[in-house]
Amino acid sequence: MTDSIHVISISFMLIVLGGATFHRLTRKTTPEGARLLLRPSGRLALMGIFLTVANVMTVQPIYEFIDSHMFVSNGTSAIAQILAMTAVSLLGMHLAISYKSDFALRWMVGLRGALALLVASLGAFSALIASDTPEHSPRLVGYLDQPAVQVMHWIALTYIAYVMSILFRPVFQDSHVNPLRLTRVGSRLILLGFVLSIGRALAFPWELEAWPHAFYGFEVISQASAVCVVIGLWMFAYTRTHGVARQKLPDKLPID
Amino acid sequence: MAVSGSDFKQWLEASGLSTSGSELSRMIGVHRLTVGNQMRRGNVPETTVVGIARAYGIDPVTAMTYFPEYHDLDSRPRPPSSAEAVSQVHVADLMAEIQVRTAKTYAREGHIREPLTGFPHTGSHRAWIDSIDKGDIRHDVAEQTGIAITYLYAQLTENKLTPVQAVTAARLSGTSLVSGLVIVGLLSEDEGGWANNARLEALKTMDNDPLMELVQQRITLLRRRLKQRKEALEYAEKLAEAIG
Repeated sequence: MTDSIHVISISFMLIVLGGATFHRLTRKTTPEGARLLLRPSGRLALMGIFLTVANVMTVQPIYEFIDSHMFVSNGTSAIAQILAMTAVSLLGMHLAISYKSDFALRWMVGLRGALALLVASLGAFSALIASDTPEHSPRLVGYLDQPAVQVMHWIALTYIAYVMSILFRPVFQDSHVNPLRLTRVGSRLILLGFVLSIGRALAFPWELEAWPHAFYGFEVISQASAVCVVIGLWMFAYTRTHGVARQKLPDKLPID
Repeated sequence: MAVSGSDFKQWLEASGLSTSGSELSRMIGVHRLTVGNQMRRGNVPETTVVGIARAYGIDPVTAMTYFPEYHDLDSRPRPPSSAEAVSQVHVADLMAEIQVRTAKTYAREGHIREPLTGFPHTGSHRAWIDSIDKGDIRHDVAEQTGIAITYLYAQLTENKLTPVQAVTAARLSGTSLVSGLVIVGLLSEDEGGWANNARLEALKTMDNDPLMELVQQRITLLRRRLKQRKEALEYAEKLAEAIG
């Protein structure tokens, strides 16, 4: 049962994330390809690539292949986790710059943001080294009863919650004041994704009690959160590429 | 805002009308469950009361006076003051009147194009409040109806004054209580005792000074709206460009 949840959710995530990222890089209207990555909105493509790769790495045969070349057993889990955290960091940076939030810029972009990611990454690696995981196990699911593995998962959840808490205020404000319905809904979806992630991080002690059986069930929350954010971002992209703002908000005198 | 469900039932019984929700819904042309649900929830919108009164040939103003919130509705003369009537004239008609008064081409015709643009129109609720304001009416209305003044400002900007707020404003300013309900669109001009050409007559007899002042106010409002629209578009476009 849990395996099927994992397979379905990972497949879904790969389709959504991979599809969106592939579309962003290859769409006909702006066929920029890899050059897109050099532009500000390229951060999202980079985020998509990182998240997709992180998810691909957790697929059993791929995981085993990569892990057989690792210097530490199950180092692939740590790398996948760091890729996912980097993707979240890119998202945070992108939204902080886009919303022009001073607070978010101060804590997400530059030295503080890099330091937070570095600390989280080092923490994840340290936790992996402290654990005893001789067999290949994607996401260390086979060793969830070990405190070091639990700490490793907690670090990822906490880092994601950290980024999303910082962005909560500007996204919340935009979800109320954005004059365009489509992007207002987009902001609300992003906000919902944030709430799910922050909620999961806060509820981690209770989640531990339900482990290991309910691990994939809780993972679905994070995946639902990612899907909400991706769809929310897509709404902004759609608004931009289709000029929805100019269609729906004409800067003309009102006609009665 | 709405009248209470129990008052509504009492009114139906006192007026000898059916109390069946589906029957009443059918009479006013809404979904058969609508009125029943409103009664069950205990909040019946004024539009339902007026709709039923119209359907049964009862004077809507008389019907409304049954409810405590509107008990004194018919205690003052129904027709609006000139200022109230002019407040509901569209800026285009106001400017047409200026053309008639200032340009030979139009002056020869001696009148502006009829019928006048209907109301409500952009800023018409705000214009009415301005026309009856003798002091700090917004503050007083907000206080008496128990809402934040900023909320009232937002309602005026969006032309969403409620019937209770309109009647409260009229009560405070000493003008026709019924006119407020005409302004918010609950009653028709006929039901509110407005003469057919009340707005046109008020416009024609208006002195030049107040006319110019009114046009200036309306132009200022239009400029503000235009600025708001441009800012909204700019915000939405910039954010979509940055995030998407």
